[in-house]
Amino acid sequence: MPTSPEEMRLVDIAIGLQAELTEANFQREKVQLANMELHNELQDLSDRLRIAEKASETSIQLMEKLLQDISMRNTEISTIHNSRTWRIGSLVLAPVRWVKRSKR
Amino acid sequence: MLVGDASQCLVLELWKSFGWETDVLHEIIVVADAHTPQEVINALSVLPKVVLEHFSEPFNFSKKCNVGSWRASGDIILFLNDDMLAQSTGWVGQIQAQFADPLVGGVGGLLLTPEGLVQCAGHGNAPRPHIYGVGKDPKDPALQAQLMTTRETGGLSGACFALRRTDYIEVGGMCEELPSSYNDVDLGFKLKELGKKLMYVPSIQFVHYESISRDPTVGEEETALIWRRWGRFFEHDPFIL
Repeated sequence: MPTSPEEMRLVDIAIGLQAELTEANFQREKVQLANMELHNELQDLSDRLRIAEKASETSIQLMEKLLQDISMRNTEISTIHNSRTWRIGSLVLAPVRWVKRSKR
Repeated sequence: MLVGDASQCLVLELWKSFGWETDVLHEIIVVADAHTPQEVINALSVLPKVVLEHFSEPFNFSKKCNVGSWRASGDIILFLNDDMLAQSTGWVGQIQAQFADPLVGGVGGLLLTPEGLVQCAGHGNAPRPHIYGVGKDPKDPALQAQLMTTRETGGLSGACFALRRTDYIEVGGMCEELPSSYNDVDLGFKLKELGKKLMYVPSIQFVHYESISRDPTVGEEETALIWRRWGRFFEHDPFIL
């Protein structure tokens, strides 16, 4: 307990400094909490971005595979078109087509 | 204890308004500025129970209260501005009754404007420390719970602030770095840190001629200091509905 005005003033200063320290710690904890929340939000966004990137990558791979398949089919079709069997088949089927057309 | 600028003789009017309450007071300490007219000093010096304390430094409300507190010999100190008039009777007994509870650290009353409206009904603390109830009609039925009921409050006006002398000394008195504003807010929080509560008792009534005797401007440094010390308590006020 202070016994003089000067001691009382010093007690106020000490209590004031203690209060300022407590306040600074409180604000620091608040900033830390806000940072943590921000970090979690960032992490969440980053995870979602990674998933979207992965989906896009898979989609590109599928598209490439599809194009490759189409290209292979095209090659196969061209090969069949150019083959002797196809020409003979066309020749054999020509009268049938003519009969069908004449019936309409 | 009467603190202010006695030059406008408000202090004599205040003393007169005490009436019979003077009989139950231990002493009335008047902290008088250097420029208080000699005739006021003379008039005060012959009044019963008045103890004069001269203050010759530049205006510092906190320091004046601290200086006066060292002259006080009673168990309970009531700080009163000089620009007040007692409006009710039995207020000394009502203050004493509150301190029967050892958890009560501070007691204040309802301060009214000369027109009868609320000048201060305790303090609110969110979103910043402020005077509660300014300009409200104390007779408004919708506001009875807040304005006319004895209740715990977030803060009390330094214009009418009663507390135990031992508590006052233990918390270091009023902060002299807050010479003009927020010294009462700071004192209230220091008492709360001791585990004490502040009580608003509206049956204790004074008319307050606010800032007639001093500049009402709030200094930036004072605002900064109060936030540095107690900012965490300005986010939420549990005592204001």
